[in-house]
Amino acid sequence: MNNLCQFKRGFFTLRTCNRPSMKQCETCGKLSCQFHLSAQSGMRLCVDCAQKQNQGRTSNYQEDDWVYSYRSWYYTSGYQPFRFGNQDYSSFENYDDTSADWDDDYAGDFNDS
Amino acid sequence: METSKSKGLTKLEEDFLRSKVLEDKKTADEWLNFFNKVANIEDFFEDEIERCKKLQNIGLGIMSVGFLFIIFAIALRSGVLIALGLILIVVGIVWAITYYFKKSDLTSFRVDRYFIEQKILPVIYILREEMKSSEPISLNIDLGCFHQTGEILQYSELVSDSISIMDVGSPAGPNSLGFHDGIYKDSWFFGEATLADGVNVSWNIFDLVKFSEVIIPKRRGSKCKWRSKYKTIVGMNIKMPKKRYELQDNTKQKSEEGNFRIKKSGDYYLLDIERKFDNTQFFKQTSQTGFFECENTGKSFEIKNFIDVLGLAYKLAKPNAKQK
Repeated sequence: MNNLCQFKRGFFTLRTCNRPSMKQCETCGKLSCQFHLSAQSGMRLCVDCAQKQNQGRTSNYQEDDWVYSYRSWYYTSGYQPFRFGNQDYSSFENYDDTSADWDDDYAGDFNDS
Repeated sequence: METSKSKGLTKLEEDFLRSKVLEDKKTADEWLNFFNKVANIEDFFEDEIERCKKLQNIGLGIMSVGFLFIIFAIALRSGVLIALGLILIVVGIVWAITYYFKKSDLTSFRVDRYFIEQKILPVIYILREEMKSSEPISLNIDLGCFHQTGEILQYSELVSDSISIMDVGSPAGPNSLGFHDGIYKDSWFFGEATLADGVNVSWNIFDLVKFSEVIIPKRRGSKCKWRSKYKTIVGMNIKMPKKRYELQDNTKQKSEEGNFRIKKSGDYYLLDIERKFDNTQFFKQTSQTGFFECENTGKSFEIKNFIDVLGLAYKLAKPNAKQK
């Protein structure tokens, strides 16, 4: 049996988490790793179910929960995340970062916003 | 890893706490551990600070006993007791001063816990979601006062004739009476990371701090009023691999979501994005001595700003239809 986390990892792009699962969510029954279990629920619920129960964003930035609650909120603003499977990433491992075409030519004025 | 034995801190942690400046490369989990530890440093040192306070008080106690000895010695006209009293006073003073400085040394390690928890940690959490666990994040952080490390963009002053003109780039000294104002650019948070989809992000978050200062002569010294206004600018250079994403080449646009430019270079699209956020914050200080409290940098930055700018790059991109 596959004992990997069944949740998606990412914010702007989503990919299979694939971390070893820690336990099942008591509500939805999905296998979840420690990062996808909600600390606010005492690690009983997954972050999605905890989010549904709490109905809002958490501002406690010291817990993993806030990333997922913020992510859900961010998606409601119309953002469509890219969804990738694990295999898609393997082809990107050999990309080099040799381009020197970078500049940061800020010349803004304090009052122009 | 080199560790400071006396405090249980690594060299990097100790240097950062002392100087509030940091430049290093670590994985997201390592950075989270690092910043969680330094944010909670007061708890970490609480026992040690308390111990120093107690030892400092013991030193003061020894000194008081020394004074009592001298009082008795004078009453009893005893040279031995006077000598003993003097020794106790000296030992007490040295003891108290030693632990006073030890305590001050520990308290100089304080960092703004709120700042680290609300402004730096969230960026690392977001990046951790997007990155492979083993991939490092380069960070270059400077949390020093903007008027010590910032670059002055604009400066003007109206100074009374008889008073010497202050140096440009530094806040007015207590003797340079008049009105000074200007704008500092305070770059406090640089970083670079390669995300799991091959996108390389390097960011530069800086404050524009508009300050004005009035120094009014008084009978004794001068009274100073300092005002500052912060705005946040988030700039990003993003390299998106063509193999995965498609973007409209040679695009330059100013929009509410940010000003951006897209160019092709080799196997990548290069995006330069910059956005100014209007989460302006005001601060006022009045000083009778001419010295101001250090104003921490990055006051108006919110994690939303970082997400909005990086999110714009992904909103502009489309998945490459040719990818396998």
